[in-house]
Amino acid sequence: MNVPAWLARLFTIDDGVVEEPFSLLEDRPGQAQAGADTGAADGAGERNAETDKGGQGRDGESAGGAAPDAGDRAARADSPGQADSAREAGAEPGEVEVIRPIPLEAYIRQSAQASPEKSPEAGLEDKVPAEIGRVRKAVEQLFHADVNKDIVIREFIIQAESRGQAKDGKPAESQVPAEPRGHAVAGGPAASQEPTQDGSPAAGGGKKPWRALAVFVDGLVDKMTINTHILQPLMLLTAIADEPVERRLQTVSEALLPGNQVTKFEDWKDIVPGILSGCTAVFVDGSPGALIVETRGWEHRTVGLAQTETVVRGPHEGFTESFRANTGLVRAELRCKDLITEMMHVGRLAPTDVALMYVQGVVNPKLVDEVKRRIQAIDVDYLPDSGLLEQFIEDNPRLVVPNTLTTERPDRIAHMLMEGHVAIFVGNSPFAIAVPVVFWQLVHSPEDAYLRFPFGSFLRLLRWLALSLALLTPALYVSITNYHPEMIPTDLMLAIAGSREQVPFPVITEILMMEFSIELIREAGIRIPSVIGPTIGIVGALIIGQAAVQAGIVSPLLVIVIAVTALASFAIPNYNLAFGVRTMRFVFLAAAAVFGFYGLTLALCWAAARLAVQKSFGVPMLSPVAPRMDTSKDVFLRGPAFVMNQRPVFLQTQKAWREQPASRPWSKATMPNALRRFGDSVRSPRKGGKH
Amino acid sequence: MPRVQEKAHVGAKELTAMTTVLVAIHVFLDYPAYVSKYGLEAAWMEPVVSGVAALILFLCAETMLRRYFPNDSIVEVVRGTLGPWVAACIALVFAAYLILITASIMREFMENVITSVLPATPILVVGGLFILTVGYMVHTGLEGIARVSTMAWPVLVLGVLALCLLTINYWHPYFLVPFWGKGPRQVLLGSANSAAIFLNVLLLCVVYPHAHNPRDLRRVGVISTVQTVILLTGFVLCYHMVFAPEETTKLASPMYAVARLIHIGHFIQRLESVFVFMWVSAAVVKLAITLWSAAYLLAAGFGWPTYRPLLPALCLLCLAISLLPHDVASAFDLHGDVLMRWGWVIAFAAPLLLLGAGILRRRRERARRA
Repeated sequence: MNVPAWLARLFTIDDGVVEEPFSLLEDRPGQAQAGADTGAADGAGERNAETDKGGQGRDGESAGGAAPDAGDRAARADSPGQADSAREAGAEPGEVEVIRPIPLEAYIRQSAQASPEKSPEAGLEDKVPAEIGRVRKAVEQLFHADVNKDIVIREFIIQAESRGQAKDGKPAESQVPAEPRGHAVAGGPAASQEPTQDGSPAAGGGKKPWRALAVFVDGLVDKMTINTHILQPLMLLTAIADEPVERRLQTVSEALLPGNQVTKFEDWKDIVPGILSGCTAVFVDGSPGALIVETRGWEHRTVGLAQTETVVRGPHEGFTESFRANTGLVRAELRCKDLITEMMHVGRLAPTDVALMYVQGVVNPKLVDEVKRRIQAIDVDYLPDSGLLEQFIEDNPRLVVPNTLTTERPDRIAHMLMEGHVAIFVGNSPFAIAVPVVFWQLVHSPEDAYLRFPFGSFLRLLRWLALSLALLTPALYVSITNYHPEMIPTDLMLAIAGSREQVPFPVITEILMMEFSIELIREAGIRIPSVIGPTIGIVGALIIGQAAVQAGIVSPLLVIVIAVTALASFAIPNYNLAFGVRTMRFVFLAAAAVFGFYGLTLALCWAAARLAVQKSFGVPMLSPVAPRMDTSKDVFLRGPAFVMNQRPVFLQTQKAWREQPASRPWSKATMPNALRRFGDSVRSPRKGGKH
Repeated sequence: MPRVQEKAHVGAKELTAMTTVLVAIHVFLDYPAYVSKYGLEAAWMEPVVSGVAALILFLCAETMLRRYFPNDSIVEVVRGTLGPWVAACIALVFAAYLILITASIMREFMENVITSVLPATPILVVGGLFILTVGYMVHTGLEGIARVSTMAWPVLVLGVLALCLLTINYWHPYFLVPFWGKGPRQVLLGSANSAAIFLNVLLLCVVYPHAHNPRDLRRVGVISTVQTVILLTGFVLCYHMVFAPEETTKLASPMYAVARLIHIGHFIQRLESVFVFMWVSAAVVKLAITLWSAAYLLAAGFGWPTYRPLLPALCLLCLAISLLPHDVASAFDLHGDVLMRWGWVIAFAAPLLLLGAGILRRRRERARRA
């Protein structure tokens, strides 16, 4: 039924601001009036939402210009073809284009058809042209050199001359003056020495100048390397005979570039990522293709202490924001010829390097294939960090318990690789991912292995206790005080009752207030500038401790409960698991607040059942406990290093044994045990992976 | 015909834990009081006698299955020998019994919760939450239940052990004499009437094809039965040493009564709430196993590829049936006088008869072919 406008107005807020919501887009004349006429706020809202959606597409186009997949945000949200057709049809600004949903398959097909047209490589050949002028144009087009100021295109001359002349000792630099870098060279001195098309000398007796081009990204490269290892040898120290044009690039690679990594590519698709990753591309006139010279050298944090996984005993270094440094750190730790680093790229607009590390011959090949399959399935414009990759590849991202292990410690990754895990490095993320992971590993710390086993076991016990406390203490407190006070000895109960006498709130309100305060302090402690960081501790202590108790808002016992809970949560070594515990604590708190121990137990049963069927890359997360598997004693406690001689069974590795069954053959204390367990075969050395 | 949950495979250790929990959970229910009615001071003998009988019957069933029907569950055996209609009927009977068991134990459990932990909470809420949890666990499948059982098993054992040891200062060994209690005949009668708690015979006939290695099932049956007998006997002994013989027959929740007595110094006392944890978790696992078995049997009997669509209906059915008895007394009577007393027909007699019939049929067919 249509409600008359005058009647509708009586029941709506008569406010001009509501009728004309702020928008970056120019509204169609009379739109506001139309909105008022209908009198339906929801309808207006929907219209505005649609208008905004259309606007985003246009913004994308205008801002992106010729950028790859310009306006693709709108296209991804709806349909790539439809957004474009709407723009091409010259739709009025603000006009609502009704876009019908299409099936996913059709969307993918349309995207695949649409993307080549929008590609910056449109109109370009796949192969690098031989003529240097065309190369320059192509590079400028590819990297939007007219507006992009950190792409450096350095044009120069390689003075090829007869060997006889070089022996005369005539310095080549006298022929080619130094040039300023960048685009300014376009009309510079090099251009003035334009050689003829057939490569004949333009000036000087026996000189055979080859025009060349160096392309790199300012800020990503080590300029010293470019100057001393590319430009100087090519421009100043050239002493080669002239070569046929098609061999020039090979000659430059073999005789003139002293860089340690020089690779020849002929396709733009190989060259562009190289330039974007900090290498320098060298093009030589007449030779199709380019030499990609390793010149990476961007600024990054040096290898420092691990920030979130500190230990007392053991290596202290952590990963940093340098991809190669990170893989190198693992290599330095694990000097194994079978350690494989496979490279992949994720991201359409801005490919991010992703490295897969594993030990060939140890790891289960199916695991490697599965990891690669999941990574290759990621289709995004940009993948900034390992935290995002983790969400794309893990089995169940909705589960509060992480399905992957994230670490910033090279030694931990090295250890896990030797166990048969696969490590994943993402771009410049200082965290590496190890898969698969079982729940128990999330409570392990590398230090457990470095300490003698009784101490390692003690630490683990402490951490298990901490995990239980962090998860259940507030819930238990609420249950006991609300539902089961008979458990508390009379004296203690009277003391608790006395301390709560002044508190006007129910226990659950008290706990929620305190938990909220703790979470607030924790979050503020991370975000606050480090200069005033210590203040937060003082403020927190004042608020939570003394002031809250004195004001009668919370009871002193509760302060202890919350403090113990917070301390316990800090003792959980895995940051992601700690988050999960923080979240689940509130779930258990709610269950306990409503149904006491009964509710708490039912919630625990739900959690246990959920976790029992959860898998991480094909491995049940509760193995080797449930399902039970006979494996080394490295689950709840830490076994002696000389007893844990098998790799985890759940990883189904190619080699089951990682050390001799009797790794202390000289010891009368341990050898009898080994003999009892494995028989006389332990006296002979290990052969391959079988025992 | 595709088998229900075809890919689910469970290891021997998980199966052992599962079958142990399935039977041993009865220490937390009215089983100790039930056996006390027959044996009084000698009630502890009843689980031993029942266990030995169950073990013998299990070994017979396992031998028949292994020798004649390898990799077949009881329903598949019946379908193969007596036809699909009979298989469906048999599955229906088994499932009905398991649903009744689930509902009856659930009612007992709900009454215990209301009496001891949540006196002001409506029984429907207590039961609703409980069956939701059980339903979710069944939804996770055989592997989920088996894995949770593996984790619950040590909790159960430790709980029973703690319960027995923490009441050591109330133990009166002379409560256990006279040795034969009401007499051997009554002990045997009580053993026969309470033998139906050993549902592991039926369960192992159901999960036979899902074992990683069916050859392990004999070991699983033996170990789980022995463990169960030890736990039941231990607790009944403790219970009888703590309470006077006549009193033991009257307590509705023996575990709760024993736990209430705990007083080891000033700070270790009144720990009955702590035992709620293991009591509830063990009950969830037990009922999840019975409900899963019911759903599985129905699906297998009627040839459905999955049992999951059945779950909401089965959960609701269990809850509804559990609320049928008017009061606590009728609920306990239904469980004790009907399901426990006649449960052996379904738990032992039916599987053995069906397997025997299957073997006869198969032999006859072979003879005819020859």
